[in-house]
Amino acid sequence: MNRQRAIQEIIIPLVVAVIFPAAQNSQLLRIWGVNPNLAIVGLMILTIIIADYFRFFIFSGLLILFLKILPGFEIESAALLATALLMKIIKAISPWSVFLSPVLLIIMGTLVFYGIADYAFIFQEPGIFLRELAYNIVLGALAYLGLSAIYEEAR
Amino acid sequence: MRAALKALLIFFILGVIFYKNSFAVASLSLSSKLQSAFASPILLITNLFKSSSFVEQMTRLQMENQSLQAQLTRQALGRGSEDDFLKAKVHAIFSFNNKGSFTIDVGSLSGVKEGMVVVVAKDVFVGQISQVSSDWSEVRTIFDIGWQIPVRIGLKNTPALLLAGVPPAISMIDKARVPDLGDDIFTAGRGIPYGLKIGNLKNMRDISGNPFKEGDVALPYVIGELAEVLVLLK
Repeated sequence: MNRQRAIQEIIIPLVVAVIFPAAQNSQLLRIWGVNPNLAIVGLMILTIIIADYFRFFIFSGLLILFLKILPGFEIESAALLATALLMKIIKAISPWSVFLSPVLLIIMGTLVFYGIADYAFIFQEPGIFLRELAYNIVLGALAYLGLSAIYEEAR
Repeated sequence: MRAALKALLIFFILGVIFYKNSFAVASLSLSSKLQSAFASPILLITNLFKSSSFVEQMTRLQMENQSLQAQLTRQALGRGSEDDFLKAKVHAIFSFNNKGSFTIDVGSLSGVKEGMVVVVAKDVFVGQISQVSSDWSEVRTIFDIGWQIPVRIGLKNTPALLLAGVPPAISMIDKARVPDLGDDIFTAGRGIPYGLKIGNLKNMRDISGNPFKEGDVALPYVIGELAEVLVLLK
């Protein structure tokens, strides 16, 4: 495997799978009391840069694992797993433009995640939900711009 | 053969994510170590080359100061301090916005029970134990949307209600006994020891059509910087 391929196929997905959950858990990116959902942003990145389903599952699984705060079953882990699979399927069949795709994936991912993990939250705290969604879209767009310099699939 | 190995790896990862065993606890420690490793460079940048150990010392001193102030308030209110504490390390903080909780490294084997109160520096309220296992517990904090705690404000003992959330807010401040900005907010609810400091009152305001005032809470700690807490055993 040459160096560029190793960076694209192993290093960058590994960085996303390990660093994004650590940043999420660190609470350091909190703005006006709202945390970004770097898990959704990370899953969007992995959806775009990894074509192979098996490798996508491995790196998504690592990302979900590093977000756990309790041993055993957590509804959030199940929600993220479902969100990851849905993102992968939607990306494969989506007719959207290359640029719209990450934004729509993030919107869909955030909705699906909270729809499974805690749907009441969307209606009880719409302000916080929308702020998080906006934050996720901005971070996702920035990540996508960075990716398009490295990956052919993101152009 | 390759397909079998792939299937094995998939089951292994699913097992690690969902199966309740000690490996998952190790992943919590790794997660909190990664969190600290990630936090330190950011702290270095944001605190202009101050080392994270120096920031920790400052945070600890600040908390001790808050605790001493809270103790004075409790004594003024006629509440003594004969509590029994269990030290606990914070494993990880719930990172999504729909819930405000964190996990600590003590559980039922150390005498922890559901409903016990968790404090910082002995007199500053952080939360309440919501879930207990043998060697870990989950703590519900005042960022957990939907939790309401009766409180009192300042030495006028103004009754009010803490609305937990992002951010937490104070509601139903009695207009007949308006507190001063900066006054201590302390616990006055059932199941929680009376007089534990929550924070200080800031930004009080009138709401049209509402007979009460509302306000915001200035917390004496940053939830993301908590490394150690105390569980009130008694």
